[in-house]
Amino acid sequence: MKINTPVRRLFLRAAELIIILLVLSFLVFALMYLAPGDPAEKRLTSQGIAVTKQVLQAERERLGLLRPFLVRYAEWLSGIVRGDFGISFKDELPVSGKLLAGLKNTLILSAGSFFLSLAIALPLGIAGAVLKDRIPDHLIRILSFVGNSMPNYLISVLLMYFFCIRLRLFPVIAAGDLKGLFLPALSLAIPLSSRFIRQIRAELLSQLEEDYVTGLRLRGVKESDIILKNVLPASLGHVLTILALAVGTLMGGSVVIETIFRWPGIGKLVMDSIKARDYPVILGFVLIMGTIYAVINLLADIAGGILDPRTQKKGE
Amino acid sequence: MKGELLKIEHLTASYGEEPVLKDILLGIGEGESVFLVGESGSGKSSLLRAVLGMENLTVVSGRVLYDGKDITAAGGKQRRELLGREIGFVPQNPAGSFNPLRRYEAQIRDIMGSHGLTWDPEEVTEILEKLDLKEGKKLLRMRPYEMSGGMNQRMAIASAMLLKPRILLCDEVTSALDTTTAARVVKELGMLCTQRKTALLMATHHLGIAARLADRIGIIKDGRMTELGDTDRILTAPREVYTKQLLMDVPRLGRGR
Repeated sequence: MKINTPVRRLFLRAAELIIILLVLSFLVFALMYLAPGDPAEKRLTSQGIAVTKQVLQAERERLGLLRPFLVRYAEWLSGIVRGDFGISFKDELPVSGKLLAGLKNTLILSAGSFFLSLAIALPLGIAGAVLKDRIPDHLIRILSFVGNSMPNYLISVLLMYFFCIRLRLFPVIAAGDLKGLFLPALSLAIPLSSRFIRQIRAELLSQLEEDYVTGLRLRGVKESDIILKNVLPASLGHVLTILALAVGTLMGGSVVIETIFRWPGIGKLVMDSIKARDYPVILGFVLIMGTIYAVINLLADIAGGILDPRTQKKGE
Repeated sequence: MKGELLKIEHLTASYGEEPVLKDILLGIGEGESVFLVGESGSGKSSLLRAVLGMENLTVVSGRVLYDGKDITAAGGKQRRELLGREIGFVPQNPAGSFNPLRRYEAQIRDIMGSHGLTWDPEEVTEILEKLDLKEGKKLLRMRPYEMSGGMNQRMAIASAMLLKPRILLCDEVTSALDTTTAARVVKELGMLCTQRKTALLMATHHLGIAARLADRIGIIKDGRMTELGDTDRILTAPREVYTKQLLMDVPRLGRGR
């Protein structure tokens, strides 16, 4: 049977994806199982019930915590396949509903900070490469160094202090609207764009070393044509991979930032769930985030193959 | 009297410490073809690089004059306007001198556009036809990595000639080609230059190829121009021992006596 290469690649990568997610789900399930803290106890205390040995045992029984590990894992997994993420330990609402409600807001925040990062990093990265070792390049490098060194929770607190308390331009608590989006998105975008700037600059510089750049210069091709029509598109494949890998950082960071700005996303839900040992919610979160991350990387890989047909030739 | 288009005056140049060109003296007239012959590493490519003003080569002393103007240290816009439009260049590795991932049409459009020339597909296919490349329209839709060395070579020549330079510099155009193709490409290139009255400065290690097309031949050894003269004179009455050696190395076909 003969299948053309891009389609075959897609199938292979999709199969890979399923295996990765299986391993991921098992690891997370096992970690939750081994983690200290008893969800039954947490639930009872939060409801103000006096915890006796009998009550606790009954509650554990009811939540299904006493059955063997593998049985619980298999049950959970078969539920996932049917789109059932289980019931929250905390309030016995379906996990899928809880996750979906927050997911939209988290995606808005992630996408917002992602595009903000690109808007900052692309022009500065290009400027850094084109003006290498000149004053603007040094300034950009210092800036990106500082931005890269500061953790996003520190940035968010600083931003909050200046924009919300000193200048009173933004509300401290982000309502789920566009105005509320700006500061959390910026908190995530500052470290991320600093990283992008360095990576884009380095990638462009390595492209500028290519023989063809000299070749085009010796033919008197305009420098702007060389950068915009040749070097930039040629580095796009690598830049896409860099960006796709950053999605993980972004989603991890959004958990913290959502909590600080009270952004009604999935991150806040997860923080609360971790405190309450609400395993089904945590498991669902990890699985969804893992899927998003893996799918985005898969798409970047495919796009990279389309952008540089030579990589496909090599794979044949 | 033939006007001197390109003049190299007592040029000494180096990569780092060691000089690779020593006191080179050479003038090329309008429409004249001069071949630089020497072994690899002799400095013939470096001489072309010096004329092109490539960054890694340092001119220690001497000058390069183009059309009477000193261009030794020309940079930026002045250099860019000179390159391609006035001084054409066909590099040693033509495939690597183009963006491997872009179609030839897009790249040649950019090259012409950078010099304020308009793209005319008829003109391009006509020049490709002269270089024995048929189906020019199809080739223009291809990318360098999809083509053979010989095809890329001729694309490089075509893209250089489209700018109608007054002088064309060629670096070992034949090294990537088999002997038959090499001979044909050089012949086609020579004819094109004659038709258009383009001066030609070509570096090659093939004295045989030079013998067929050059008005004058310069022999280069260890960065020095050891002998320079009309082609007939070099071939029939070489003065230097090294030139005689090179002549003996030229393989003869047919009835060698």
